Amino acid sequence: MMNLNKKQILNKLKRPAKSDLPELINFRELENDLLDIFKIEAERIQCDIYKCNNINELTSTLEQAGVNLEESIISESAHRLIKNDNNTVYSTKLSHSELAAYKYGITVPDYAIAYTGSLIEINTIKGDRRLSVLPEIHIAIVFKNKLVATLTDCLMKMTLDSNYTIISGPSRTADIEKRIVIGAHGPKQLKIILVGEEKY
Amino acid sequence: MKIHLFTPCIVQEFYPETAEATRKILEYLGHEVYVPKNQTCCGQPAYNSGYTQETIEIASYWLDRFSDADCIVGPSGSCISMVKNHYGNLDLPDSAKTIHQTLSGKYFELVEFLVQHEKITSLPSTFKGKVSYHQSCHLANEMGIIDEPRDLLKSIPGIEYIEMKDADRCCGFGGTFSVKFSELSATMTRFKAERIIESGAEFLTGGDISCLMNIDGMLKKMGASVKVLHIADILAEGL
Amino acid sequence: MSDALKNRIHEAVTNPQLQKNYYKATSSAVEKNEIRSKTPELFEQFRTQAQHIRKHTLDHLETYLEQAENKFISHGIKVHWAVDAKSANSQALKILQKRGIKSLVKAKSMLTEELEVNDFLIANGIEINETDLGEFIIQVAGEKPSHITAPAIHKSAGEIARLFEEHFNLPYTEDEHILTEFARNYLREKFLTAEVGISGANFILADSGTIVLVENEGNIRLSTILPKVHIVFVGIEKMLPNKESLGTMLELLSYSATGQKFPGYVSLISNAEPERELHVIFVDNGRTALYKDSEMQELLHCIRCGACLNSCPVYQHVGGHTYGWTYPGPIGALLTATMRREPGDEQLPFMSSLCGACTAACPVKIPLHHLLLKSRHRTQSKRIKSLSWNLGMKGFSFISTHPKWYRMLMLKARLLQKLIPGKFLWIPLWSKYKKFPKLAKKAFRK
Repeated sequence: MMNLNKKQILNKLKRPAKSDLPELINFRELENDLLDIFKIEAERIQCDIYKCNNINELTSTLEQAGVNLEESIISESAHRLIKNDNNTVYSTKLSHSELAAYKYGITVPDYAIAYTGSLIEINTIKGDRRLSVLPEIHIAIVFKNKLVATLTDCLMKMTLDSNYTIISGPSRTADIEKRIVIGAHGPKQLKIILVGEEKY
Repeated sequence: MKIHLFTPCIVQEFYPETAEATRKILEYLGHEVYVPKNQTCCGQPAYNSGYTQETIEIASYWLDRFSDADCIVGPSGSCISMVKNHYGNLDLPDSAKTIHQTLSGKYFELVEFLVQHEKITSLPSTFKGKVSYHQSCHLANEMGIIDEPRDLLKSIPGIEYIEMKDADRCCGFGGTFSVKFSELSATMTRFKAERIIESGAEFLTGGDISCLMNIDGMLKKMGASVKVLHIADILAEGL
Repeated sequence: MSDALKNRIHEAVTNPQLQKNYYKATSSAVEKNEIRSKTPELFEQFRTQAQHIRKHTLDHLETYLEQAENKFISHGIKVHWAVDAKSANSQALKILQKRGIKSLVKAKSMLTEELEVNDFLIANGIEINETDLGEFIIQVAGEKPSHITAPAIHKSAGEIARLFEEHFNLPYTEDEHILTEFARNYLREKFLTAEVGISGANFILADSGTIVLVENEGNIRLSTILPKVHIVFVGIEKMLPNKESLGTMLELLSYSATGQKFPGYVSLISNAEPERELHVIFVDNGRTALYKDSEMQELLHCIRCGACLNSCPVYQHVGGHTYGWTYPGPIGALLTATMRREPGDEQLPFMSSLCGACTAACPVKIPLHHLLLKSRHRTQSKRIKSLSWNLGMKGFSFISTHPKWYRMLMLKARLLQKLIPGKFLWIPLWSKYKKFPKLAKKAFRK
């Protein structure tokens, strides 16, 4: 039954003249410091930006950002960075409801895109895609060396074998009279901690 | 240069003064203006309603009238666009096709002619008043003429130019559309008329006589005092 | 024109609230498209590139579909094929029934509206929870979407407030923040407990077998991450060759749809995680027929951004429901006339002044208003139109090619006009709304 459908459809898709894929041009070239551009763009889309020099300052910067670690569910990568002995819950063991009860979800994006102020999370099998979407506030720890200029630059480095999520700002909607509301179904706030350290 | 004056049917029958104004402008620029006899219509109403055969008949007739022209100028964006851009899509008989090919590059809407061919940036028109501009669809989208008419108007000392809101929005004429979908067309026209009145302009002008007739009809129905003039009428004043 | 269409137009244009709602909705999106207004040459370059990407993809569609299927299967994603709505819907139902599932959460998908998936599943005892705020609103209201990307755009905040008050006893408020918060809380429970999530797909990348989903609200992420089963409905034309082509397409889609530089969330799904199921249903439903149509096949390049709707003065006045099917605006008029083709559908391409704003706005350069005209020619060549129009046009052609008759007619008209008092003529269908000028006393002949 299924194969019959498939055959029927594909048989009708014969085309004699076929065009080639043109060489694709990336029209965007950024000149200034990527970090500066990222900060401007991220703030433009209602992200809150905090800076610290290295991971030693991470915990205090989180405090500065108003993050209560007791109310946070933290990704595996973030666990290794934040010196907090109390929090050893592994998110993957939590049910949806349990995870949703946490106020803050802390992750470490794999890339950050300067041109659009976006974050890219690569979700491996061990990863938990819920962390950056279920809790009310998403905290993202972005390392300087993870900054890329544009999405296209980033896509060149990615193989798309696993699941990727590109996040640009907190959730929003304009479905009511085109009036913008920040905070729809996803996180209501996105706080980005920019870590100036080169190595991670 | 000898210019063949293309007088769209609406201009011939309802607004002959616009044809006179066009002639005046061209003669002022030192050209000889020749009006081909027995002009009727370019065939747009038939074409937009999907009547290709009738369009071919009318187009063949039109091309015959202008077969020996060196340069053709007409005060209507949609009519010139019909000839320039759409006659080529028709399955014309060979004789007509040949004429159309020889005339390629010789068709001009009036503002297009002034700005692109003559490189005019202003004319010593004595027109006075608050003027707003309606950007007709054919002129802007098919011929790429957007800033030039506004610049010409702004260059006339007696004119206070006002840019109205939604100047680039269609007036709702669309040829037979205005009859087939009369209520919808009228809604679109009323929207334009309201923007014109809001702008505070005393005069509304544009490069397409059919749009102007349409908008004028609505303004008059609404009892508005705004006067509608073709841009040729304004540019020719006092020449 | 059918009475039904005429009535729908009349209902829309005589409703001041509706006129206000649509004007607000469409003008803001057009204004915000900065890449088009601030850097028009760049916009043009982007568009040309996107046009070529889509053309190339459609030319090699068979290859790309098979490539995607193979990739999907190797990553544990199940692939289904459906020639029509019946087939697509019943295959989806089978997936649900096999697991004894009775309710699901749904992300917005115009294809599922086209296939009438909701009605079918509900008739088979499945509870559907639309999660996109706009879709949620119209589900509560029992209406169909009126726009491709903003389904409830025809409703004012007051109308939504009244709706929520009636259905949920939420104290009347037009504050969009409170209304959104309510929907968030109401739907949270559904997200957390749903066993199945249904979505569409904005694109499918062939070389990596990736489902691309674009949104702002986060409801797509929640609908596709939380439930154990995710079912994707996607039209066969939604392919892209590779990830390299994604940058251009996403940026254009974003600017054209909402004026945003980039969408809030982009999900790139290439894998079914362990203990979860991911199904992709490739749907035809008339697309292969369009594929063969050499004049209209460009309609398949559409990326469903809604830019043509936002720029269309006709859409702005008549609204989405007037078009009578899933897709409104210029693209809707064409898809309805060429893909659905029910009696009366061929009239929709005539409901346009052919102003060309849509063609200028389309990010993939579909020559929309040229296709509207082509559609009219087709309708006409089948002589579906009325006898009076046929005769009228024949007469018009005769007069326009016989100058003596033309002049005689105009002379007679002028004589007749002398008998009519006043400054204006009365012309049927015109003079109800506008004044028609009298013929000038003397025509311009030389």
